[in-house]
This record gives sequence, structure tokens and C-alpha cells, in this order.
Amino acid sequence: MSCGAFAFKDALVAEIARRGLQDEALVVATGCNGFCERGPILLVHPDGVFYQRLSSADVPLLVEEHLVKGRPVPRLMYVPPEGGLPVPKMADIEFFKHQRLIVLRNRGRIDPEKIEEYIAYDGYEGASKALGRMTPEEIVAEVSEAGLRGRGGAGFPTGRKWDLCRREPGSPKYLICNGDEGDPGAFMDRSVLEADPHAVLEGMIIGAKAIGAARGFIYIRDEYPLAVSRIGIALGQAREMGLLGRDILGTGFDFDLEIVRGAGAFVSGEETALIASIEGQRAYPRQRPPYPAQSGLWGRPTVINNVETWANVPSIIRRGAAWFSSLGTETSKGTKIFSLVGKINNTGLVEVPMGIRLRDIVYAVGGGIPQGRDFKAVQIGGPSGGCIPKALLDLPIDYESLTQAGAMMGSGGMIVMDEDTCMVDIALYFLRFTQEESCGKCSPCRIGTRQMAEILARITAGEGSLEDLEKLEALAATVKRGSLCGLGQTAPNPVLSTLRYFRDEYLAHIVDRVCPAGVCKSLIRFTIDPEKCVGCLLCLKACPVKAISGERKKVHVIDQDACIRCGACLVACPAKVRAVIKHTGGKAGASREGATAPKDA
Amino acid sequence: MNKSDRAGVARRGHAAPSLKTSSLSPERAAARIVVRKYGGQTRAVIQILQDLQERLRWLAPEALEAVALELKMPPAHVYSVATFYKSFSLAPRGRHICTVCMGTACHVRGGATVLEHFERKLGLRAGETSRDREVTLERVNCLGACALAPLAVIDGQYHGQMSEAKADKVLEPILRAGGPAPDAGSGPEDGEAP
Amino acid sequence: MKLLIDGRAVTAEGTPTLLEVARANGIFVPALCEHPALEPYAACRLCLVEVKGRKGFVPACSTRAEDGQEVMTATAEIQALRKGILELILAEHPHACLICAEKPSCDDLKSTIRKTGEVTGCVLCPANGRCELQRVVEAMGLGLVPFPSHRRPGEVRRDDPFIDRDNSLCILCGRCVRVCQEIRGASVLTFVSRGSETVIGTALDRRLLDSACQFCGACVDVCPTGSLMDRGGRYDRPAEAGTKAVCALCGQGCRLNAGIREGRIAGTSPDMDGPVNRGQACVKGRFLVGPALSHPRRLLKPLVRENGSLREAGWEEALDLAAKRLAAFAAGEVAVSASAQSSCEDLFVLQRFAAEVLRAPAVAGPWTGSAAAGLRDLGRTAGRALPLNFRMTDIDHARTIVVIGEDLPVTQPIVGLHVHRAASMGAEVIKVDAGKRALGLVSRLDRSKPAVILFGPSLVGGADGPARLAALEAAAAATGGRIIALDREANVRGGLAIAEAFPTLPASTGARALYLAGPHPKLKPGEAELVIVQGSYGDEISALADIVFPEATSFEAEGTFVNVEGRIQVSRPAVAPPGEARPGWRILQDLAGRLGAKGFGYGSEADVRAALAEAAPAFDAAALAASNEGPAFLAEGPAGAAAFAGRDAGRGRGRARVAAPLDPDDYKGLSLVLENKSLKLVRGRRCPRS
Repeated sequence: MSCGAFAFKDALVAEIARRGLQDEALVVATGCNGFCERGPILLVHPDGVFYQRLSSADVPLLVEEHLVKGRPVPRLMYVPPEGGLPVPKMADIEFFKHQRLIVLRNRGRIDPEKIEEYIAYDGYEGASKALGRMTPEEIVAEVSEAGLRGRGGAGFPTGRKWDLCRREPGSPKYLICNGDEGDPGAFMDRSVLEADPHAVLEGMIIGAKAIGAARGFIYIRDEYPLAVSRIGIALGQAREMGLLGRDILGTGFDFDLEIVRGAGAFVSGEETALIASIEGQRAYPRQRPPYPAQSGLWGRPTVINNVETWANVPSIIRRGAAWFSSLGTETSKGTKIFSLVGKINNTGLVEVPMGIRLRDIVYAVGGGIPQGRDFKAVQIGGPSGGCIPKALLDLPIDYESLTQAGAMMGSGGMIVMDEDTCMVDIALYFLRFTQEESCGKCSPCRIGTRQMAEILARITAGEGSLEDLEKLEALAATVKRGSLCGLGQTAPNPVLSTLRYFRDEYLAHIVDRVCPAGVCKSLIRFTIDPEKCVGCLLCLKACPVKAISGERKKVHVIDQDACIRCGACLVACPAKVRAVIKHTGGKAGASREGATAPKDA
Repeated sequence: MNKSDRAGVARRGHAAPSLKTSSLSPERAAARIVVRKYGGQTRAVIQILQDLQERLRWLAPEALEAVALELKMPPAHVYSVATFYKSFSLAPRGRHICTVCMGTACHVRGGATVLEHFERKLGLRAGETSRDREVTLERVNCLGACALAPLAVIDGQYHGQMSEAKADKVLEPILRAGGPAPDAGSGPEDGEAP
Repeated sequence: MKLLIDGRAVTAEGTPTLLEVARANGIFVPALCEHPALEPYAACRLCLVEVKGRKGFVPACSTRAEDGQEVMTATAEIQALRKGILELILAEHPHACLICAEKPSCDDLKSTIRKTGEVTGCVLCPANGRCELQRVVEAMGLGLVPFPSHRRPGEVRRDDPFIDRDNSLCILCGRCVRVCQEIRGASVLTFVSRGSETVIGTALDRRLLDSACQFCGACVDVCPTGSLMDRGGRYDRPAEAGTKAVCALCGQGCRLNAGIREGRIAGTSPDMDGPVNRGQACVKGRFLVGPALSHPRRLLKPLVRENGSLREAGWEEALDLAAKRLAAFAAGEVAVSASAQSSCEDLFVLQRFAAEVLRAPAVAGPWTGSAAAGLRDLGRTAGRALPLNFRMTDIDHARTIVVIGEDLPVTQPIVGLHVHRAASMGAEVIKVDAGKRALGLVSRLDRSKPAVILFGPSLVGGADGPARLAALEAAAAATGGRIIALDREANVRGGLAIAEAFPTLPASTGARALYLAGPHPKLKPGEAELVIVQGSYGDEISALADIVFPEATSFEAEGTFVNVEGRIQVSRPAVAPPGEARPGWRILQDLAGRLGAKGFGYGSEADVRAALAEAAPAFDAAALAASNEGPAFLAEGPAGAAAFAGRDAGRGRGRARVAAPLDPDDYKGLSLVLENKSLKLVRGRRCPRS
């Protein structure tokens, strides 16, 4: 959507109308296809032909060739990054080949604003079965046997959580969908809410029957306005069809949902803080026990699950626990959606079976690192997670293996990093994030993350000492063990994990005053090689602070005091000249010949 | 209701006669309407503030007080909630709003440099509004559009793969049309005046 | 239940937290955000302990003790964690003294450096020596903070009366926010902003005066550091001694801790174990006791009029003169007024003096038009005993509460706290003026919900007072609830019960002389041939008197007071009376002796109480109250009623006119609200209260 898909769609619809093909070609605007790097995307059914990186200018050719003449257009098809022939069918594209779609099963084939389309693909069959033919105990048993675990981060067995709540006496009980996807780099939940909202609704209806709730809340973060809108539309349509409200499907079961918007606080993704937010309070987490299943929203038994968890439920009920548990590993069943972003060719959303190797995600599905750079690490689990280095690329993805490696499944954000990423800088980035999002209630997190961030800032500025590493580790222990909630308890993970696998990088910053990846501004330096400079003035014009001086055909010079290390000169210098050199270590550090720009050109 | 009462209602001609907002300040009137929309529920205070901010653009002290009065809630509670959540602006916001995403994917692809560039060009730090109230520069922790990293949103329009050159282009109309003059000491350069 | 703490077997009953069990067994577990009166908050994290079988660490303040638990509070790991957390807290709290090399010699040098504006260490802090953080640091032996310090930003707020706020000393324990919201129901202080930017503040950062603050001082009392301070006492040295006293500034009967320095009250704070107030107070009891006792208008010496003006005299001279002049009047010619702020001892002896010595028809006291009297009379008219006694905690369980004509935070602060508690548990609270509306409203109460109707003296006045009251009582009864009379002064119930023990003599001609031991309407010069004033403060009336006896206040003498509940409490003197002031009953005893009366030779207050209990069976429990062995209430019902049967203590003629109900901030003729600038600011606000 954000890449101009609406404009393309309008152009396509107009062209089809102009050619009089409305009865032969139906244009359906679906939700996210997952292959975000290549948007706007067009999928032609029933051929299964996949077009990508389209613009309105491509419309006349596309309609003329493929729709009228039946000849697919290779020029607009996907070509693998390593080169080769265009791949016409989606199912053959590496990005899609390795995926198993359960939660994203409706990807690319339904209009999320039309409930009939959801229903056409077995939608609400699970709810109908659960409400009409299953008891609460049976529903819980099915979900338990399937082995579904919470997809929001901690991986708590969903069936067990539901059972604990089901057993609590009395009413009311509540259901909550946690759509406060705050991990930077994660957008799976956004995609599900926008592209297949009914999957979430259906899951919650089934869950409501299981625990005995009559009301539920869908909490969506403020930064996702389209998701709020799509869920709103879905709720309206579901009510109209008698799938929400009183006496659902004539079974006598009452359940309805309302949307609650977040207001810009990452900590509201923590379950007790989210509850506080729905209650109209500051999003302060609360000491557990008691757990929400016993005492949650307004002190009542509450089940709170992540978007992706809810969206798994209808399939489990429809197709059975055995089917679901046939996918995945011994302890981690089913699939997981990951948002694959960062230094990766195929940026996008992927749903893969648990147990797939990290290597396959990065190289097969992800298409490897752009511009032939070297893989360095994958950060999994956002600010609560850690990095997996090259040596562990064969790690199978499941809850336990990731935790053992010092990372965390988290919500599924996978940030791929290459040799141009500085791991100390990444640790600082995450600590700053945590410090900014810390609610401030408990001392270890509020004060400890700040102190940790300050130490890291000094290290990246070339002012660190070895003692700082000891302090970091001691602080990490205090914050980890002393904090009140998961945000604080996991805040030190990025630091601990980068220290574990990339300690040499820290030492380089501290002892050698060098940033090997060439990122930390205080430690890098740009100079112009007088022997190579041709005096073209390009870098001079590109410099935003006018730190370069020189005349046409004369050697240019960078004023080191004025230079802000943005790297614009490096990008501007023509490839065949390569006169700008980036040094990774202040005045005395090593240089990196031929280093590319800090971002994709 | 007897005949004369009915006539009275008809004469007044309001759709919801009991709201009585005509004699109230704009903030109080808006607060009353919004609180009524949420059924006067105190637990909806966050939604109410969001709704009110959409109408009034930002939440002035009068707006916060109005919500407290309409909800019959201690003003301290409203203020406490309004200052906790970053969605709320308790200072006036500019006509143009530039938001730079600081999510991890954007960071890894140079988001920090993009933000610095915006700060330089606009003469503002993230979170600030220009004195003439034309532009507000904000940063946000991940908009979830990571394929477009690094990302900036200008007046609701998403601009992906942001670079310094691209930033100059998208900011040009804002700066040209009487955008902010750089404040003293905000950036190393001068002469960027419109 | 039985559990193990650090290998030691301990027992516990009920549902205590691990922290409570540890403390009960002398085991030190630091906790700064916890407070016994508040819900657990689990934020400071200092109280983390290990429980076998549970992962990680749990906060002792919010973890319930269970049978068979094995708890470790001081393993090496816990100590290291605790130290790490304390270091972090100190990184944001001024701690220069901790690492100062001059510490050992500092005591000799420091003198007045507490008066600097900015606090950088303990020695400059007003809370030095009474700071809970300081105690934890000392207990844990911390000597170094290995992190850079950050000072929480903001100026010291000195723009309010009574309370100063210094954010740089705040450790964000949240106690002040919680007490203000959970217990006081005012919600004035709150958390503002988020994360490291969090500060404690008011809505829109206003002054407390511009918020709904009642200046009760509860926030100051719970603050573990010097962040919230009593500005009056912040620069003083700590008190030398302390004692408990029952506050007599209103009718709640709060028990206070009084700090004493050099024989004067240095400051007061509420007693956590006070049976009525349980650690809470109001602006008067918290901040104004000292100022009231040392007000410039205090009467310090007996005064006699000579050649048209008053001059100081000795007690002997003054008493002799008074006796001589009083002896000249016949029965019924002297009118006597009493104060409902005097102790039972003072009032009993005064009643005896009036009846036996002066043979006055009755003693005029404010209890005559009181709410309690109104309710009592209603009971008599209706022919059934309506209970006057109640317990504050009764209010907690009401489902509907109607408050008629009383501004609770001002006139009945502790009752107000219980009303707030009931409201937090879902009760409906209706506030209404004492007019026709009250009746209409009350007649529409939901009968399925027990209602408590609280009313004050403003409801019972006028010709239709009794009828109004009857209607209210019937309405309350219909819901299965009751009606509660609330008067404003410290001893209305006591005064009323004592008055009943004395018969009213038949009326006679108008009074020629006045003995004023209580309030009196404006006096005209020459209105009476003799005016004797017995009081604590000089005013326009004492200025016209012929003889003035300086009287001790309740904080300066032992005295029994009966609060609105009917609870009998005996207060011991906190300080000696200033100048030559004396307890009221002693003055009267001496006077009676000079007038040749018998039986006025009481040795002590205990003797007076014994006599009182004999004369008024309602006071059976007075001795019990004195011994502090349990709650003691005025006796009601048949025993009490029989003693009153046939007595008509209401409508005697020929007595001194009673002044209109006093303003709630009056103490023995001193109007605190007019005479104390700070209280004037507090009461004079227009902003809406919570």
C-alpha cells in the first residue's frame, strides 16, 4: 500500500474498463502479499503468474499482452537476485516456495473488506464448529494438543492459558487481542490485521466459547490506522451476519468485540500494562502473580493473546490438532511469521514451519545479502532479543533453541545485518529504545537501562574503558533479575548477546578506538585521496554542511572539523573514481577501501 | 413530554438538545461531544483524548481540564495519562508534520542520518515545532513499513528509501512556502531561508 | 501457617505478605515503596527475596506467605542484587555525603548548612536523620556509587503553604500518589511523564493551592525521603521527645504524635495506631496545633479590672476577688456558658459549680442545638432509643451515603476518608445542602441498598428541624440503614451526656452576672454587672470582662473527650500550660472552695472521672478509656436512657444566650482560619474541591 499500489490498481481498473474487459477480468485488491520489497505486486489467477515492481506506466502493456493476448510479460516478472531467467509462477519463486501459509493462507486472494470472500475460503467454519458442536473443554483440548504457543514473544502454551482461565469461576471474563506490535522491525501483526482481519475475529470467537467470555477487546497500536479501519469494517460485517453479538449462529452464545487504540507506548504490549491501558490508566505493568488468567482486566479472569496466536486458532479447530502438530518441531508446533528486514534482498513477511534453519530463511527465502556483502548476524526478538551470528546459521528456529542461543523468538522480527553493521551500535540502539519506552515504574529498568545506554554511548564515541564492560555485565544482571516486567527483564539481552558473540568488536572500540564496521561517527573519518580525485565537484555539492572545499579540476579537501560523517561524499564520488576513503578508526585507524555507502543506493 | 415541551424542543432545533454546547469554550464543547460519544465512560479517557486531539490538533491545558470536568475525573489523572502516552501533543503542532521512522530496519539502513538531515534542514530537533508553527518534526519507533526503510512520513504521505537528496526534494515545498527560518544555534549552516 | 525464612522456622496467621512475616520476626528486608496503609506497589524492587520452587526473585511486599514456603532473604546473590538496585537509586538521588572524606568531622562544622537551597547530600537535607533511604543505605553499608549521578530536574517548589516539594530528592516510590488517591480520595499528586522523565506533580504543574489539595499532610507523612516536607519544621532540629495526644480541634478525635522541643510542641503528625484516624489527620491537626498553642492572643496570666482597665494579677488575688463578687448574687442570677471544646473533666466540674455553687438554672452549651441532641430528642419523641454511637468503619459498608450540608474534608475529615473508601468499593455518594432538596432526594433512595445519612447541626435548627430529622430517619430505616449525627467540636457528645446528669432548675428572672467558660454572643458593655471569663484566648468579650482566668488547652492538660462516634478517649498533656494558665476544672475547684462549697476536692483528673462515672452512667467506660485497654464508648440504651428519663435538659430560660454554631476552624474563640495566614489561603480558595 505504501509503495503506490492504490494508484496502480486504479490505473489497471481504468484500463480494463477502457478495453471492455470488465466481465473477463476482475481486479481484487488484497492485503499484503508479503513480498514487500517487490511491491506493487499483481497476481493473475488462475495462471498463478506473479508480477512485481509495477507502476501505472506498465498497465497498458500488461493488459494488452497478458489479459487480451494471453501472453505473460517476462519483463515485469521476478528475476532472482543472482541473475537468470524470470520466474513466472509465484509458487516457483524461492521467496514463496519455502513458506507454509496457515495464518497468511488468505494472502493475495481475498479482499479484506469483504467478509464473503473470507467465508468463501472456509471462513468461520471453525467458529461454527466450536460454537455448535464442541464444549469448552473440547476446544481447549484441541488447542492444547495442537501445541500452539503464544506468538507474541514468550511462547506460553496457549491451551494451558485458556484452561487456567476456563477453570476460574464466575463472570464476567474477558478476551484481549494484543495488537500492540511495538518491536521495531516487526509488522506481522499489522499485516494480519489489515489483510485478514476475520481470521483474528474468528479465533477470538472460538476462544470466547472456550473460556466463557462475552466481551473482548482488540488493542491496536495507534501507528496502524489502516489496521484499525479494517478491523472496524470486519466487526461491522461480522455483526451484520450474526457472527458477533447475541445468539451467534443461533447457538445461544453471546460475544462481541470492541477496538481499543494504543497511544504510543511500547510498554503497553506487556500484558498487564495493556490491561491497565484498557482500564484508562498509565500503562504500568503489575506484579504477577496473580496472572491475568486469574485476575486481569478489572480484576476479572482474562485471556490475552497475540494477533498471530488468535489467527492460528480457526485453522486448528477446522483441520484438527494432529494436522497442526505435524508441522514444526517437538516443542514448537506449527508455523511462525517473521518479518525479514534489514540487509536482505527479499524484504518481506514470511510464514515458515518451525524448525526451518536460519540459513534457509536468510538465503533461500530471503535471497541473501544485497550487493554481495557478507552476512554478519540476524537480530531476532527485537529489543528483548539477541543476535545469532554466522556460526549459528544452521540453528533450527524454535523457542528453545533461540533462547539457548541468547536470543528470543519474540514477535518474529528478524533484522538481517551485514559487515557494515556495527554490533555495538546495535546494542546502543536497542538500549536507547528500551530506555525511551521504559514506563519508569521500577528502579532497575528506569535507571539501569539509562546507565547501560550511557556506557554504550561512550564506547561508541571512543571513550570507553575495559572497566565499562564489567559494569555493563553487572548492570545487565541487576536489570535482568530486578525488573518488574518483561521489558526490563529482557532489556539487557541485546547487550549480552552482542557481548557474547561480538566481544572483539567491543574491544576494538575500546582498546583500538576503531569501529570495524565503519558506523560509529566519532570513530570514522572520510578523506579524499589526492591521487585519485579528479576535481569534479560532485562531493562538494553533495556535502550538506559544506565541509568540502575545492575547485573544478583541483583536488578537493574535507574539513575534518566541519565534517559530520554522513557519507554523502562517498555516495557522490563516481564509481570509476573512488577517491573518497572511509576510515574506520579516527585518526590512526585502518581504512576501508572500496567501502560502499552506509545504506542501499 | 407534553405538547409545549415538544414545541420547545422543536423550536431549539438541535439534534441533541441536551448537549448545550453553544455557550462553552471550543475545548469544553468539543470535550463534551467526545465524552458523550464514548458514553461518559472514565475508562475511555485515552480514546477520548485521542479523539479530541484529532479535532483540536493538539491538547491545550483547557482541553485537558475540559475532559476532567466532563468525565468528572480528577484533573491529575487526565494529566497523568496525557503525559504518559507519546501520541498526545501537549504543545501546539505545526501545519506540516514530518515524522522520521526510527525502527531497527530503518536504523540499519541509515535512519539516524536521515533524521539528522531533517533536523538540519528544518532547524528543529525531533519533537520540536517551528516558532511560526509551520512545521513539526517528530520521530516514531517503527511504523511497520520496514520494506521502505529508511522511511519518513510527510503530512501523511509515506516516502520510502529516504536519502538526503530525496529529503531535500520532499521538504522543498514546505520550506519554500514560508517554512521555518532556522532558529539561532540550531544548525551549522545559514542561508537556508526561504 | 508455618514457613522457613533463612532457615528459621516461623509461624504466621491470616494472610500476611512475606515482608510482614519477616518484619514480625525481626528479619530486615529493605522496602521503600511499601507502606502498611497502602496496596503493594512492587516498584522499588529492594524487597526481592527468593522462594524455593519459584523462578527468579519475588517482591516480599506483594507475595503472600504460604504454609510450607522456604524463603531466603539474604543469600549472596540477593545481597548483590539489592546492592546493585540501591546503587541505581542513589545514582538519581543526591548522595555526596556518602562519599565525602570530611564525614567524620562534619558534625562539628555543619551547624546551619541545612538552610541551603539545593540538597547535594544528607547533611544539607531537611530529612537528615529521619530519612528511610538513609536508613537502608546505612543498614546495607553502602559506601560508593559506581555510576554517574543524574539530578532529577526542577526547582524546589515553595509556592504553597505548609508543604514544600523538592523533586531532586524523590525516588519515585509512589507512596504520595497512592495515599492521596487510595486513602484521601483527593488525587492531587500524580505521576507525570514517563520513564526517566517521570516526576511527581499536580495537574498542569499547578500549585497545591490551585489543585484540590486539602493539605492534610498525608503525602509528607509517607514520603521516605525529604522530597515532600513540612515547610514549618524543615529547618528545625529534630524533636527531643515525643508524646501522644488526642486532637481537640474538631470532633473526629484523631490521635497525634507530638514532637516536643524545649517544652513546646515542635510539630504533630498522625499516630498510625490512633483508633479513630489510623495514621491520617487533617490540615489543622497536622500543621496548626503548635501555632494555635503559641498564638499571641493566648491568655497567660489572670487579669482583673481596676480603674476601668484590666491588669495582671496573681491567682490568689484573682480567685479571691471572683469569689467575693460572685457571693453577692442569688440563685438564678448568674448565667453560665460552657464550651463543647472543653474536656469532660472541665465540663463536669463546671456543671457541678453552676448547679451547686451558683445555683444557675442550667449551663448553656453548644450541644443544645447540636445534631446529636436533635437525634436524641427525636428518639425520645418517637419513644424508641435511636443510637447515637457509631464506628467510622460502619460507613465503609454502606451502599448509599447521603451527606447533608457538611463539607467533609473541612468539618469531618476522617469520616470523609471512610466515605471515600465506601465509594471506591462501589457505594453511591450523594452530597446535598440542608434544604428541602435533601428531603425529596432521600425519599427516593433505593430501598435495597443500606443507606447511611450523615447530617450536621445545620439540619436540626428552626421550627421544622425535628420534622425534617424524623423524615430522614424514617428514610434511612426503610433501606435498612441508619442516620448519623455529626457535630463539629471536640466534645459535643461528652458535653451533652454530662448535661443530662444535671437537672434544670425552674426559670427565674434575667441574669445579672455572667460566668463565661464558653462561647457567648457579642457582649455589650454594661450588659451585666459582673463578667468573669475563663478561657485560653483573649477576644472582644474578655476585653470587657471584670476578671479573666487563663485556661490550659487540651494539649496542655489531661482531659477526656468524646468524639462523634461516642468514643471516650483520654488525652495526656503533651506540654505544660504556658504562663500561668491552669486546667479549667482546677480553677473552678479553687473558686468553689473559696465560696465554701463542699466536695470539690478532687486530687486528679482520675478522681474527677470517677465522680463523673457515678453521676452519669453513660460514662461507665471512662476508666477503661483511661487505661487504654480497649475501645470505650458512651453507654447507650436502657441504662443510659434511664439515667436521663424525666430530665428535660433542653429548654430552660434565664440562661446565657448561646452563640450561633461556630465556624469549623474555631478553637476556643481563636478563629484559625482568620488568624493563620496559611489556613486562610487553604480555606479561601474558589477552585472546585474533589
